[in-house]
Amino acid sequence: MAILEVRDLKKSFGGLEVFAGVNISIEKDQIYGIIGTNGAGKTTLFNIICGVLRADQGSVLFNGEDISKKPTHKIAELGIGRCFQTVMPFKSMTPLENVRVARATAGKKNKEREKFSIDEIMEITNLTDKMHIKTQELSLPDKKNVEIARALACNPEIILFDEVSCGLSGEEIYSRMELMKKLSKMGITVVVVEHIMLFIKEICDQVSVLHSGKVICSGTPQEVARDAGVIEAYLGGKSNENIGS
Amino acid sequence: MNLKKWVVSGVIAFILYMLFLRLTDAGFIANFIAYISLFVIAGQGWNLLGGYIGEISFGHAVFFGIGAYTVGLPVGYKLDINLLLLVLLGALMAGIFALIISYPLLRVQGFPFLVGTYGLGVVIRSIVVVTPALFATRGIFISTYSKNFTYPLIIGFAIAVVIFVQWLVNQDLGLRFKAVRDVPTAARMIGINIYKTKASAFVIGAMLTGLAGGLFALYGGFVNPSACFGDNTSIFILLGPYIGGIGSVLGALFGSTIVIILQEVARSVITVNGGHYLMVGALLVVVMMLSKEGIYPGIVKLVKKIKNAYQKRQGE
Repeated sequence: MAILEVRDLKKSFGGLEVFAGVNISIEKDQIYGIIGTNGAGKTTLFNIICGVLRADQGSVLFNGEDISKKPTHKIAELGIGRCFQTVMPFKSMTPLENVRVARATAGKKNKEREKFSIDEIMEITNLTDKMHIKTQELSLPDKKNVEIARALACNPEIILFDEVSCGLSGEEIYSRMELMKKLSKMGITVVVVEHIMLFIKEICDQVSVLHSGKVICSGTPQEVARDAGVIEAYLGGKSNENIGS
Repeated sequence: MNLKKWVVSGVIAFILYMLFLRLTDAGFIANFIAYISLFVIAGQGWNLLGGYIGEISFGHAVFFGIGAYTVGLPVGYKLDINLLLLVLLGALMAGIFALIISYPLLRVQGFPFLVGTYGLGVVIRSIVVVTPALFATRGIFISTYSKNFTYPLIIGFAIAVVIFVQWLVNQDLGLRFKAVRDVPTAARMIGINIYKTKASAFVIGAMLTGLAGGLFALYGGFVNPSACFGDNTSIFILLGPYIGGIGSVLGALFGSTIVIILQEVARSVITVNGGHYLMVGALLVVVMMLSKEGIYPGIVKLVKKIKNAYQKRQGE
């Protein structure tokens, strides 16, 4: 059974139709990539999954349960974690407090799924040395790490990463790729929205391509890279095996 | 500063006050410190919502008044109930009222919330003023305890409240308050129920403000609508934390102290009726121009800057 399923999702903002029947099915323990051009609705899809936005039609199933009408905090309690495109750490708190508050809320509800202690979370996100510094004083990569740490502290079954590599150096991107692989191996399903195709090709088991309100292609990164519709959407028809790499 | 240091500092402050009270025979300054402490308590209550959640209330006099009238009304009706019990009951009543009113009020945020709380203050004061059963504008005289008991009681409660708030904001609930203030969307995404969290801060804050109101009734021996439910009371409750440093326990403590001292100094200097507000208003303008975060965070930043500059110079 799919851990997360989006069925016939439709969403419009006024006259702008963002989704015209999107279907995505994500299996457990996968690293699943979602790509698309700017404005394709990748972040909107995450917002709908998390209950930040409501779909006009369609449903979102998490472990078979329809969560499309649930409030965001209940969805988080079920085991869906998220890292935002624009970093949103709790800036007045230290990284340790960011993690503590997450562990005390959704993390407490999902105690049976706990894979990392707070110390381990700090270590794998490279925050051990900075855990007592106010988050607002940290660099962008560290703030992104705080978000990842906070999401892990919720003991999630699945984490949605929204352009987590944005603004990072090659080395930092690589360390995040390794972290995602590690999380997947530990039984946490990872969903990634990314612009960097190399990132997607390197770590994803399955990829869906959003374009013009629909999923135009789903498959392995290699299958997607060869798909004529994807090439058309990305490159206007010029075939290229190494899209974006 | 860890909690142990806060407790030790609190105990020392209480002992010093007791010595001072004994030496001065409960004179003007001892009285004035007790009066300031009332606003310290109320200000800490306001700060839980205004500073730690980020919702500015302009009607906290309602909770102050409920606390004061919970002490005053049984006395007015000649019911023989222990006054200390009534003070605690006043805090509880303010909390219950906050819980009830939180449902409609906390559905809105930002400016509408501010206007809503102001409106609540106007409505409740108007009800008290026109209701004979609440002694309307006549007010109620309370034969209270002696100064030697009331003043230390107020100081003790003020110290306990400051320590309690400092403890609370570092607990999981306090961290939830800050999370909701910092990024509500991210707070939801870690399982925080925004309404419940705001309501918790609102209710606990109202209880503290209600406690201040109950103690005010003991302190002054008199309650009436304008002193307890008046706009001025709301303004002075919120000005302390605002000027001192919103979202900071020490900031609220310093701010409430500075505002009340300045108010009394201005009252003695500017004899025109209501003229002392000019000085308080000017202070607010100056503070907002120099340090938008308030006096205490401004001082902390300045000290840090000087320290860094000194260390840099030493390094050279």
